[in-house]
Amino acid sequence: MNEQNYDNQEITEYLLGSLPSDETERFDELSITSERFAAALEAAENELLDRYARGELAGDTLDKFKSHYLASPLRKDKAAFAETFQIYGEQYQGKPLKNAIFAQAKPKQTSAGFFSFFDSLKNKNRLRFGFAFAALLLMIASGYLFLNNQSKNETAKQNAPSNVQIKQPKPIEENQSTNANNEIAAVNSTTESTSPLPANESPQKNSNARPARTPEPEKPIAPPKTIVAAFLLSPSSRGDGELKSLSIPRETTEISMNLELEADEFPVYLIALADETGSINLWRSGKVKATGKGEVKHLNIRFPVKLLKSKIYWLVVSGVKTGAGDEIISNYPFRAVIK
Amino acid sequence: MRKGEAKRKWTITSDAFRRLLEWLDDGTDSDGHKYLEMRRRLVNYFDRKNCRAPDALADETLNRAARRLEEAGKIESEAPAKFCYITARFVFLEHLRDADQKDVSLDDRLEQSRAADNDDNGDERNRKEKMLDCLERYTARLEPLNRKIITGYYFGEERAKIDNRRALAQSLGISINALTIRACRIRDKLETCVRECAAAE
Repeated sequence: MNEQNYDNQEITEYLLGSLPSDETERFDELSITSERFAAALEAAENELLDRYARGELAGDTLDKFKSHYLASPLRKDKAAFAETFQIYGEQYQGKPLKNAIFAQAKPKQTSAGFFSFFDSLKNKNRLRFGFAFAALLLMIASGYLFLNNQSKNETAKQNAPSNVQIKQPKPIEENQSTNANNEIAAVNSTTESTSPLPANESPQKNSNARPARTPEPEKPIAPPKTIVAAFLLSPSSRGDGELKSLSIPRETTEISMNLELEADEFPVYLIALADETGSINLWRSGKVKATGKGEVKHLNIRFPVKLLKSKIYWLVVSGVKTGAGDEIISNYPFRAVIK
Repeated sequence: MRKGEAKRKWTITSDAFRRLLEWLDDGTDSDGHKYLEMRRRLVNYFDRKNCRAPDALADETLNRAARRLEEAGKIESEAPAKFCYITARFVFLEHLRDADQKDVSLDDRLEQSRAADNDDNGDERNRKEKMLDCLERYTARLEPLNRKIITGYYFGEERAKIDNRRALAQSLGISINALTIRACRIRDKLETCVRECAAAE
């Protein structure tokens, strides 16, 4: 058996099932009988796996890797380890992550860096539309909140003795504060944390369901305070080249995100909040349906603000189709700034 | 009992296993490492042949070697590794011929694999997250030198990585080849630990 007559390229072809049968048989034998070949084979296999994990395989090699190599559960496990190993390596080197765990549903298109998604932001018309829409939403939200506040203040005045501070739990009490850095105003709202009402439910609707108030002032109950900051985000492919900074007041307890979809092509979506590296999921939504009229659809989610520090995060949206699994469709990077 | 049936019913005893270890050690005392290494190579061999149960076939191969040792007392015709390869080929051909063995074609396996991907996408992500946790944990547990080897060998950009490897080999006073083997061994151990840890969590 000629041990020396092989090179790295041949070993790779052997691993990909591309060698002629007589050569395959020779390598089969060497893989068991030769220490030297077994070591070379292992090193070449790791190299191949790492290249796959880094998204460096292309064309015929990638096709063969997928069609032949990944056909075995054992080798698939090796590929999963290699992907994890790469993620660990990038973290170890302190680099922003290209290869997020949850981004592996799709093959990587480029070896682009963290901010490279901004390079693709060429469509100015869509961008203008995005800003116009954000401004419109801001105006609607402002108007709604203003009216809502007025109405609640009046209710409060009617129900409370003039010298007693209102502490009775109320479904929603919102005060608006605008934030120039954000596309939509941060909204502070006080609500019962266990309230099944959605945030935009009218307080009057709920008060109708309550028993009539007794004339005596009720014993003050301090409700758990929930302060929500709301933001609108466009997908990363729609940005303007700068990472969005979301200023979050320190007293905020929940973040409400309104994620604009590029296209509503799935019945439901899953959203994950990931850290800067993209490798650690900090929070996951349940199945979320897109809302909104016309062509522009949104996904509304809420998560606790305690998950965030003043750092960069990603919201990763996957579309879910029955029987077809889920597919990453958009990323929404942002920088949280806790103030 | 017919000879073939007796062979099928043969099970390895502790004596036969000890003899197998000694034979694989070939005059040295590897403390079972040669056995583990041979088993690993056989599993990978059967896996590259796209056999569905590479572990079972590797064990069957080593069992046959043990049985032959018990029957004949010794095997002198071939070196242990060569004998294992020849036996593995027979086991593989029998596996292919076995009428009961409904071997799945590569296309079918791919199809199954894709279907499993779709079904388990969320699970897969969870699993990878667990793997990352376990990897961080187990890498932290590595001896500092081994940690230095694995991070120095595998991480870094293309050019830097080559330079890192060269510098690392130089600092350890070993060749690049020896460094590669050492890095592969550490990675292999890490992979085994991480896989077990992720499966257990």
